[in-house]
Amino acid sequence: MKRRVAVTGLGVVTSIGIGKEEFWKNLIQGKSGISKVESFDVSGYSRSFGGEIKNFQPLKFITERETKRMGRASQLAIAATELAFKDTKADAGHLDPDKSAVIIGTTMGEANIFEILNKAWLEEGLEKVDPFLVGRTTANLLSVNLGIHYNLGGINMVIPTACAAANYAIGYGYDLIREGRIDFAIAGGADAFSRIAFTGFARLYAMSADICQPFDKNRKGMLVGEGAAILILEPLEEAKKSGKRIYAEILGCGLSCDAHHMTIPSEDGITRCMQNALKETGVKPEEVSYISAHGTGTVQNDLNECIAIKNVFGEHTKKVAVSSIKSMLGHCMGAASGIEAATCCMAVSEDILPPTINYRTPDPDCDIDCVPNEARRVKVNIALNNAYAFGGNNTSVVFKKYEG
Amino acid sequence: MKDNIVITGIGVVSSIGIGKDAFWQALEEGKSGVKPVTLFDTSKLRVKMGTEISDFKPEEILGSKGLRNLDRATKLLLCAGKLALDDAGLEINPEDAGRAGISVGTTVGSLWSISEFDKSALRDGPHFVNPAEFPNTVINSPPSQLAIRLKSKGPCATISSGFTSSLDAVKYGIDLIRNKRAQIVLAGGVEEFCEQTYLGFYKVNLLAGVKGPELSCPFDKRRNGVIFGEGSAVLVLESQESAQKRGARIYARILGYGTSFYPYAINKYEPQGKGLKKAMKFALEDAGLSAENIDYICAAANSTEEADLIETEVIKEVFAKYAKTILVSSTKSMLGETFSAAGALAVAATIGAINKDFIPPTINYAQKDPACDLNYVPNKSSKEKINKAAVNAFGPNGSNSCLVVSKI
Amino acid sequence: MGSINTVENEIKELIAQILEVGSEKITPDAKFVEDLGMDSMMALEIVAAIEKKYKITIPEENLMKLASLGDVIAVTEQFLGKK
Repeated sequence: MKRRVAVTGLGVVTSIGIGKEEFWKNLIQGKSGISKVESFDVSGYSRSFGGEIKNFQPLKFITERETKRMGRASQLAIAATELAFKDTKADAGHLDPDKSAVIIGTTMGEANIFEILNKAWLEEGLEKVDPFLVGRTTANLLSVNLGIHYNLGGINMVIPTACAAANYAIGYGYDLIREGRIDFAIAGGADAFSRIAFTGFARLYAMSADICQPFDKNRKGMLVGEGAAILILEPLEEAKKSGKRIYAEILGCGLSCDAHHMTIPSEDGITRCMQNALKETGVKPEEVSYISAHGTGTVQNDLNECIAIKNVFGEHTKKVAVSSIKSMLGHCMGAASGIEAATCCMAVSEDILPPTINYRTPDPDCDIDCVPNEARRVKVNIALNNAYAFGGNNTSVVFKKYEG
Repeated sequence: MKDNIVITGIGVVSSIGIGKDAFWQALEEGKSGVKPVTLFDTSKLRVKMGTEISDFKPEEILGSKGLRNLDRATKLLLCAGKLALDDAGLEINPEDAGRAGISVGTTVGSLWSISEFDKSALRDGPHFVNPAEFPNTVINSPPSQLAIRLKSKGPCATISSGFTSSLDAVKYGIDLIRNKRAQIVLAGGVEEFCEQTYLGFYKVNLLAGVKGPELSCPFDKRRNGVIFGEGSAVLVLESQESAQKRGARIYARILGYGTSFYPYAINKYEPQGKGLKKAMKFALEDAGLSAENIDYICAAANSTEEADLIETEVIKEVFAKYAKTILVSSTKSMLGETFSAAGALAVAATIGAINKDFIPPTINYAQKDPACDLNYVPNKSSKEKINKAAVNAFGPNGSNSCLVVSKI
Repeated sequence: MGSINTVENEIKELIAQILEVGSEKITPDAKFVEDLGMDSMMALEIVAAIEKKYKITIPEENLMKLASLGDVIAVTEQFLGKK
């Protein structure tokens, strides 16, 4: 009765590539998408680097009129969806709206519009605030704009669970297809480069001054990024029958909450999350080839994540490859786990593991195999995508190689 | 709907009553939560009213420690959550904490927090923001704070879908139980009263008092917009089996849910209510019911010209000959439009109706609109035994959802 | 700017508020973490509040050194002096 779920399309918009091909090519070359922040004035800040997407051209994906009606996060989401549709050769017009879902994860929603409004409010007063923009700020508009753009009905929602959001969206899309409620899911995440996020992370002293070095002994913190990733999910048997390319099968997901602190992670919460994922999917620790780590590059996160991995994998820890692509992209907030999910799909599909770049000095407390600096060709059967959010909202989604 | 999900606890923080009993009593009395806004200055606006919760004292429910950095949205939700858990006679112990989940509908989290944090950076420079206020700027902050307070270690989700957020969050919570990821789920919604959201509604012309009288009068001819409001409602969901095993009091069973997004426009109601019609039909199908089985509809009608008419028309289409006899009322006549919290408050109200044998009235009903001609239970509640009820939620951004509940 | 005693009292009050304990508990030697339940966010909050109040900037490396009221006063005075 429960159906198997396949990933049949990938669309990504990132600082190292727009579209799956360019993204993957640069990812496995260990290319960095980090640069000096230009979207706002950082002169008053102690930090100035981030993973902005410098070459995003919205008009390639939406009309001029649409660019005036939606914020950057929505634009990134639509672009990623367009790329995913092209990738799977799907056509929104042929979808059954009653059996489709658009589920988007985000951290800041349409923060850019909001930031414009706040500035106007402070500098010019409330009366001068553009009423048109005011109605365009709510987070749910990320999925609403997508629905309107593609004229697609069905299930439509945003899951704003911060840094784990896309994983939640993908997990829920998986649930809905599995139970037969829908036949097509557009699931992923989007976040535009946010001044609010940049300010906050800098103030928490959680941000690096230059590079992101997950698991490195001298790691100094995360970097803020932006992007969008969309996975197309469909029932596996149907996809197989219609000869679609199947990147991976989603076996299930684990969810947990730290119930500890808004920003300080708990190794117990993320241990249980991975355990839940393995329990739900029946996958044994020794069957996991790769973990796409949350790996933000902060002292605390990476340490806790390594402890949790050891808790879950025990003696198999050294045999699981664990890399963090945040070393290249920075932390793309709500999109991060979506981009990482797409990475897991490519990993199991291509048998290549992306590296953790900027790795110079091993940390004895983070003694996992982090695929340092260079991508690796190896058979990848099962990949686990970890994502942990502010508030201790934890997710692990399990991807399996599809062999026909 | 499979798996017999039931509701075993209810926590409400509303402008007409705090706690389920006060809330139900106020609904039955037709009490209005509408009053002049005090939380911020409305002198430059043409409107002045809202359904603020006056004298909100979270420390009375939560104790005084640990509230210092929490914003209003979070405090509202924490109170509703604590009340719900207590009402269900539950305690979350370390051994079963991993089986307790949370699913909350909120579209903007605390918009006030996000705005104030950003403005303080702009005003004082980015180095002088208060780091402790940064975590309040993520939309999933209120539900996460609830998890921290209750030490609830199962899945914790936040759902943003505008006016249907809390009904959709209830559905997500139901799915957590059905997929065996949680045994009990605190599901609901929250909306705080703040200048930012109020102005948002004002600027998109949704507030009453500009084109007509400043009233919340659903279905009435004078209706011309909403009175914006705040509140939080949390329901404790579990399987009937789990409830019976622990001897819990069961308030109601959830029979079905339907949702349908209809792509039309931003901030404009789709005039034919095609999405709402689907949502209601799907909910009935999911519940295995036909139109005649529904005794009461807790309407989403919010005193806008469009929404109330759309809902009336959709009810006529879906319920056909039964439309004239079915009881329909809008609790928003009393609570105002509480946006993301509306669905959860409506479910809490409907469960009161089912358990206490009354229909909450549509108050402020004075002038009939010939196009809105159903039985709206005007002004005074009526004593009725109802068995099955439908709760609607929909908004001008395309989302439409419906939940069907029944007496146990 | 007030006398050192005023600054001491102000800091004591500020810390008491953030840690949500009575100010009498904030003795010069009481350990914030072990005795008064401070976590890393509260530590940051204390430093941020002092920086904002006295319009000074306390470099990040000093955060580690702030284990008690005595430490906080010393560091504050150091950077107040530099101002």
